[in-house]
Amino acid sequence: MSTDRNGYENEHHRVWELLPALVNGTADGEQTRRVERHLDQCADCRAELARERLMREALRLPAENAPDVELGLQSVSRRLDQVDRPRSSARSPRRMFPRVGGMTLVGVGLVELVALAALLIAGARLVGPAGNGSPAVYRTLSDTTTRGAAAVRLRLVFEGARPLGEFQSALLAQDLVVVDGPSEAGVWSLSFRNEGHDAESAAQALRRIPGVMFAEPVGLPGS
Amino acid sequence: MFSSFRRRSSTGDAIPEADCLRSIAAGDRRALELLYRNYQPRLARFLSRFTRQEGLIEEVINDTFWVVWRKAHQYRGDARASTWIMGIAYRLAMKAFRDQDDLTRHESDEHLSTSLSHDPGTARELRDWIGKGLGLLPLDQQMTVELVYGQGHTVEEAAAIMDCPVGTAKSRLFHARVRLRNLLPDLAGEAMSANVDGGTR
Repeated sequence: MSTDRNGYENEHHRVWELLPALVNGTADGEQTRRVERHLDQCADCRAELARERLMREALRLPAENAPDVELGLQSVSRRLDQVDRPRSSARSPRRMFPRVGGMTLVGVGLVELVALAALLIAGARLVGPAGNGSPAVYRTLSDTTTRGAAAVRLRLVFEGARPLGEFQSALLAQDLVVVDGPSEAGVWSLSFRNEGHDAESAAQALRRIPGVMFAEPVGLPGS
Repeated sequence: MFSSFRRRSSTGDAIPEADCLRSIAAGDRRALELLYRNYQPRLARFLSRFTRQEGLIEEVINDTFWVVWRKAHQYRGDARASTWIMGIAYRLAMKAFRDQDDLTRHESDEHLSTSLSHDPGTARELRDWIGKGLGLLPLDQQMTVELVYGQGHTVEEAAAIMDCPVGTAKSRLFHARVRLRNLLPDLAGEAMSANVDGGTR
């Protein structure tokens, strides 16, 4: 009797653990049959199964405050329009995009911060790499005609109101110079002094520096 | 442009999500739109459990698809596409919630004990019922319950999404279920039998 009872208890616990899989449809055939056999003799598990099925039903109700799908798609589309990079490139497509919703920087993700920074900087004058004599050019974010002419390769934001001077040595270590900024959002635009650098690698190095809130490459396609 | 794309998910067609990701990796915006239409409702459902801010929900969803667009080439197919996508959404959501400190927390236990004593009969009541019950759980347990019951993931997949050991996910689910069993009224009675019967039995 005791052995039978222990066997029942063990099976009860095993089946109890299987119930979520049964409820969400991920249980396989054998697991399902095992649960069914146990349910025939276990009122507790039947009650639990009923409760958990209701939980699943409740959790699968549509969200009441779901954003509009079309507006969301338009927002994503605008982001992609602005980066519009050739996907055959192996480069990381970290780019700028506008944010449709909130207006403040507080609490937004880094990607959003980049987006807002991009908006603030959009249309701003972008100059070529220091010392290369390239003429200054103007472009909007979606302007593809000037690709390759401008050379802003990274956007950088420091925490708080920390002065640029604090980070100059770190920038120089990456062969970076400031070519614009800070914008109203505190975004600095950086360029490499010399060719041959990888913006993503430089951004990764900068991100490791305390006080750097974000560093994102904005390398132009093909650059 | 997206606006010119055909709505496919709304017809209920199954979407080969892994194929979608491969197309996205190749720069196919239509594939991204397809995936967006398919996932937006479920992501909204997932996120709405943790915040009431529609703007924040949209932000996390759109950021998720932005990351999907950027990282689709990294999807190796060793997990379900839904697990990979949910993992991205989970990480972005956790960060957004931490930043915003906007997790939807509910009323006091005292208030809840009253609320939970009512059997949920309508969709709104059902939504409130589960929302208030989950609201009393730690966030990691809430997330696990949502991923398993709401999103249909296995515990192993939930662990991958939350980037934690499977044992941890199992433990979270176990404790959440025990807690909910005590919190939620017993609904196995006749009132709910129509909703829950007809499955395995």
